[in-house]
Amino acid sequence: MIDAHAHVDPPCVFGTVCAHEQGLLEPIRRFNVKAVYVTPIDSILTDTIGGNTRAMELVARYGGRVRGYMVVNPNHSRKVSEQELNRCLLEGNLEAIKLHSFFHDHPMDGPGYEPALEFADEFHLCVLSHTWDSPDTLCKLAEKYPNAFFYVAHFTGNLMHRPETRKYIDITNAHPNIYLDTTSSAAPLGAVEYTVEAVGADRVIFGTDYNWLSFEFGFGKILYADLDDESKRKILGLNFQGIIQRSLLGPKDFSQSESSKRAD
Amino acid sequence: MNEKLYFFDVNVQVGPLTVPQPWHRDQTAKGTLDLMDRFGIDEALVVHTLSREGHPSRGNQRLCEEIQGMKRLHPSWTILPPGGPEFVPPDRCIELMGDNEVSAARVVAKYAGGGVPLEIPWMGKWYEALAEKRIPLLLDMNHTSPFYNEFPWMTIDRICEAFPKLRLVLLGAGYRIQRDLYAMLAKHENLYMDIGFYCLQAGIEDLVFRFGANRFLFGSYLPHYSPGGPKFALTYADLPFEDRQKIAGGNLKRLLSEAWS
Repeated sequence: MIDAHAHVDPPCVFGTVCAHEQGLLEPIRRFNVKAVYVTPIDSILTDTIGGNTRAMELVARYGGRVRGYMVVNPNHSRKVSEQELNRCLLEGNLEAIKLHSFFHDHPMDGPGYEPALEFADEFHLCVLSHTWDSPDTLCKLAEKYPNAFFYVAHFTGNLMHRPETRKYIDITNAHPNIYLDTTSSAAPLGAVEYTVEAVGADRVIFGTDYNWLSFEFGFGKILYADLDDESKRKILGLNFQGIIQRSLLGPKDFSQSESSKRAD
Repeated sequence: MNEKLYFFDVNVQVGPLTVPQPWHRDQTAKGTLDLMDRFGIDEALVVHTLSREGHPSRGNQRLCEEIQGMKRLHPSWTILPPGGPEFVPPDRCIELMGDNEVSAARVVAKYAGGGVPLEIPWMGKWYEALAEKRIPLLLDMNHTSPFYNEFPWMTIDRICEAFPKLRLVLLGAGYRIQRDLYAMLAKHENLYMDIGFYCLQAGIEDLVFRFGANRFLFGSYLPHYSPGGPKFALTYADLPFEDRQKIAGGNLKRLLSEAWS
């Protein structure tokens, strides 16, 4: 099992209970999670570079079980963004890119995101975004950067009858490099099953927003979904592992390393 | 963790939905029981969708008719402010609730473009009557997501203060309200809530650590939301079995059994 959408350190926006670093190991210990992919709060808010450094330190400290995203702040210059991409992904130990256009107040197809998307395309990387602004924008980017993997966060929290939700599904079906995730505080009955029926179990990724939100809430809605075991296995880890392993940054080991065993 | 919890859900709806989804195939009481079976929910306190989205004067009676003989479903009636032409006065309504074995009331305070005034000048007679009979009142803000929560905290504070014997249950208390919630739970022993939308990591454990296990209830919001998350979270919460069982169903059972006493 891999949690592809996790966080660390408390946000100021709302109160949390145990968003600290030590808490990251809880689902690993209790539910035998192979890896959690984290983004520190600072990365997506005030201190992107400091947050990226923190992500690399966490990965180094906890072996293969805690893995990380680097964030590009589109309000930085192209030069700073390129340096940061190289530092975190080529020289560092992070494996994917996270973008947050809502906090960064920048359009997903704006110039500030070009370095990240070009880099993802060159190295076949996963790009998780809190939002892609609109289905049309996502469609345009998925075609412009065909080697990047576009990760649509919070998808199954949507109401499935809404036209925009349906449009995301159509675009996902038309583009093999788009994936939809299950991270959401809202869990409308049937939304996971409907998404799987619409795009196939191969295109759905498990995430929880842990350790701000409850890993158990996120996991429970998949466990109780009316899906066969093979579909659940794909969603809960195999799909994301497959995306990460297609990266050109080098082979990724998902077996338990000695350091990660020590993390138990 | 091996002992099986008995789940008694405080927040389940019966009846036709305004915006049904493809998987809402059977919106009858029988369909509700089928959904409860799928998720391992033993009993539920139910409200009729007609009471919430149509009018309580029609939905309440229909609920009792539709769940008649279904021992796992327990009715709650939706109430409106007294003094107007559209609903029976509290005293008469409580008589009818007794006749129909209804042990919980619900107020849907917020609708798009309207709602029910909760302040004491408008609803005080209800609070007094329900407190006297120890009938719990469920406060339904019509939340459609754990993300958006709009509880009127100052009003809740005044109600709990003025009617300390009223058992007020917040439905759909989402994860973003912790900073508002803790002060209210600390101040008012008569304030309860369900944990269905309270999806903070270790959120349930922290509530119990600070306030004890007696005021938290399992609520799923079926058929709109999946009970899978809150059920799994409570089952595996880092709490003694006795505390988890209270939240899963024991507290609601106690509240309903104490009504009318």
